[in-house]
Amino acid sequence: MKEKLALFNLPKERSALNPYAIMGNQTALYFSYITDFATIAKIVPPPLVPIAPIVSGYISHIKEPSFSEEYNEAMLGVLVKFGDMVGMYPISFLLAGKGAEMATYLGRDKTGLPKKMCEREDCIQLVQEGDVIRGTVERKGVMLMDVSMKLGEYNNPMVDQIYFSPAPGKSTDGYSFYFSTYMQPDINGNAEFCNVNLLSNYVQYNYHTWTPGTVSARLQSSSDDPWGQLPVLEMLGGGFSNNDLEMKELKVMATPNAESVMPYLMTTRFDKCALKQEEKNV
Amino acid sequence: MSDKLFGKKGYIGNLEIKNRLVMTAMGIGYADHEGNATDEIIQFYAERAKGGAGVVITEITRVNEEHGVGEYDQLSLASDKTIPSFKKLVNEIHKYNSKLFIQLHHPGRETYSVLNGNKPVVSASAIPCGVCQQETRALETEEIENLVIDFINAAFRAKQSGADGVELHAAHGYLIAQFLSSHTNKRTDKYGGSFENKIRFLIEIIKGIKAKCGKDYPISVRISVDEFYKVLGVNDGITPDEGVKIAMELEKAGADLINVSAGTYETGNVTVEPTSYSQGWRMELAKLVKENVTIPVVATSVIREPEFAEKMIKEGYIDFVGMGRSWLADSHWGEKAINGNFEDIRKCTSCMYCFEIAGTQLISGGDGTTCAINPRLGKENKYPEPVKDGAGRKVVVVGAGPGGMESAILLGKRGFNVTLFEKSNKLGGQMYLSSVPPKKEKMGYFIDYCKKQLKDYNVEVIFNAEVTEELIKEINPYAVIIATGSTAVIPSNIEGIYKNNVFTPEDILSKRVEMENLKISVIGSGLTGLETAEYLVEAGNTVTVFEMKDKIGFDAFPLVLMDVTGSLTNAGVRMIPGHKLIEIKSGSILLEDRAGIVIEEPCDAVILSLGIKPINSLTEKLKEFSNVYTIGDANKLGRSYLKIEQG
Repeated sequence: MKEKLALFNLPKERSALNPYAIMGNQTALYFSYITDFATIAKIVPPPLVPIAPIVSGYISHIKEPSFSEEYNEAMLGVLVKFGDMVGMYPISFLLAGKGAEMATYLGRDKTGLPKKMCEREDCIQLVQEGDVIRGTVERKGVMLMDVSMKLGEYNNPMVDQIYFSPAPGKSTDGYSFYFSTYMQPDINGNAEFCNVNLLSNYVQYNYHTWTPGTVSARLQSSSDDPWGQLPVLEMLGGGFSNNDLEMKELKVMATPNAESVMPYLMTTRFDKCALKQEEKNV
Repeated sequence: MSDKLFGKKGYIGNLEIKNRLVMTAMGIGYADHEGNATDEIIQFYAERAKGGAGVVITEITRVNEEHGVGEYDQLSLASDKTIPSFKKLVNEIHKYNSKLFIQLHHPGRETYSVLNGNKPVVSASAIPCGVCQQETRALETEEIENLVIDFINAAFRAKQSGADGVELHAAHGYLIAQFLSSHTNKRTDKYGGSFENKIRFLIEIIKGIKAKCGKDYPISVRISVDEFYKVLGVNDGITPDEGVKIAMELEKAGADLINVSAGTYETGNVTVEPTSYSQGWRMELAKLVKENVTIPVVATSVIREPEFAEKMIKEGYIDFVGMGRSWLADSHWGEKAINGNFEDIRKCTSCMYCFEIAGTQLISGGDGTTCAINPRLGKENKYPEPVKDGAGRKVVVVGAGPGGMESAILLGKRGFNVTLFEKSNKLGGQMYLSSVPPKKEKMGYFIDYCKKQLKDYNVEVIFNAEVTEELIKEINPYAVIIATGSTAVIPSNIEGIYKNNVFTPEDILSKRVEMENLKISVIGSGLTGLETAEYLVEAGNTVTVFEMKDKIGFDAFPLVLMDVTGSLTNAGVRMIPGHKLIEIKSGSILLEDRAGIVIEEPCDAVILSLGIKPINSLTEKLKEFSNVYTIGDANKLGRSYLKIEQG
């Protein structure tokens, strides 16, 4: 069949994005650990409030995303609350692979996700050999995350509660929080971040598999990506899973002041070379 | 030259206090389960009154038995039954012209259901404490009104027992503070919402006590002037502005003394500070209050040295010097300070051992707390001051660590002719090493104290000395105390373990080996390993700590661990649990993770902090001698620097 080529001008009815995003048929290594609470407190922007010294992360191969070609993604996040609403605040995402570019653009532009891309497709890997899974995240020559899992049992059984006891055929749901913003030039030719929105996103995991595992993690910071800033003080464990993740309702919860929030958001969206000169020289 | 202002008399309301030294409340666990003041607790407090405390404030004393229990073995004035035991306590304190204040307390949500009839704990609102994590219910308005009466009745019982005053514990996130703080009070009735409503519970208690006990009956109120929730990323709770406003309102309501403190259970380290907190670190909070009230102010803030106490009074920070743990470490802190014998004070090192032990007994009771450097704490009845029965007999003490030094001093006091042998050129042993990492200098207080005492009791100290069987034969002592301590474990089964790039914490902290600008792997995350990492990173090295278990600092006391790991995190030290050292190469190490994956970590040097083992070979060699005692780590490894052993 002849390939349908893109057009610069789309018909009006096709000039819209899919309302929902589904990370379909993703295979992921999930893990959680206890870190230094004071450090979490320093990196969570107001009005979100950190509620536990726990970091959750994953390395995922998203085979059938609804919005792009397949890609690999890694994330670190912490548990927070906004009012009485509890959820995950993803601190940073890194992406690699064919669909990474579109997933990064959409994630940032549409949802406010703190996403960056790695420079090569093989920068994020998830490899299974027997009952051992290893996930690695490398960016600009620095191994930011190297996580291994031996399938079998959790390091600490309490971690099961963090994931709401996943099981094949089971669905779990919850909320994530993001900050969306954009830069707007003014009449003087200066561009400032404006209209920061705190968004809540209702998400649902539909599990096809979930196998508990004993996890070891090596995290490290680079000059662009502070992935080692939240140390692993106690590894709780995690799971290896195939699932579909549906990102559903996205709502504006608050409109915090850009000046107070942007310092928390810059590093996970921009590399050092894009920041002000003083910062570059640090 | 000190004017010893802390030795001058002061007033709380109309009550004259013989000096400015206040022993503030500490949960010590010496009461009985029914809430009586036992002989043990009476002796404990009396010893401090005798030792120069102008005011002794008791530990938390409950006012309500239904949901107000904070500890398994805790004082109680919730009924008349315990009054006779309190009368005995008051009489003992008064023998030394000191005053006794009873601290009235309700824990609110900062307690455990198991202590309170297995029912949900109570609070201003149904918000569980992040530390205790108990099911929590909001008190009904009528229950609050009844609690006001409970506090008033307990104060009246305090007065009936002869106590000179009461202190209301409205700090540290306990029930009264739960009403004061926007972090925990979300009520919409007359006890919540506005500032006036949030403080209403406390004001009603104060006014009620004054009405029932007389307007001259002194009331101290302990408040957290800053709850420090900002360190948890939370923008509520009591801030200094609000803390000052509370203090001003308390003065208006009739309070006679403001006791300035800080924090809650959730921000714990600012309330009972680990050793890294400097002397006076939160005195500015006291000054803020003092500038805004006319009644006297007392404050605690890691005050350890008389010179510092003097300075705080002189410069107008406080009227009374509040100390807690300082009185645990030395029951005669006040007497020594007032007499100018500053160097004779056994200063608290803030090691937190007392707090750790008290914590383990919180729910199920026990023998009460102990002190790592004062083995007589709480045993003053059982072990009175030593009698002078040495009669000049020779005693050899081997090893000048804390146990060896303390033994030598004690034997010197008893009139023995003591020689203390030390293989290194320093006093202190492991304690000296623990004073070397950054912000750990207070661990050296005890060594300074011992140095003076060894001199005062004519103990001959011989450094760089190896004690042999032959030497003991030659000296022919009446007794030998073996306090040779411990040494690092070096597992010989690890390939490369004896390479020249491998060191121990002792090598580093004794400064036998100095490192700078190197990439260093510390193996083992006990406190020794972590504190060695602190030292190395401050010296300009890049440090990674590897731990075989899944948890960094597996058996360390959580509050101390949080302090150290926080410091290491800020310094950029990587901490990696779940990794076992399997080989040391010249420029790297191999580690195996929990999945069996072997990784290679480049490093210039390896520090092995894999635990310690006793050094006690001399014990075997001297088995033919009589009166040979092996003590401390050489006898049995332990966390406390000093404990009473073998009578």
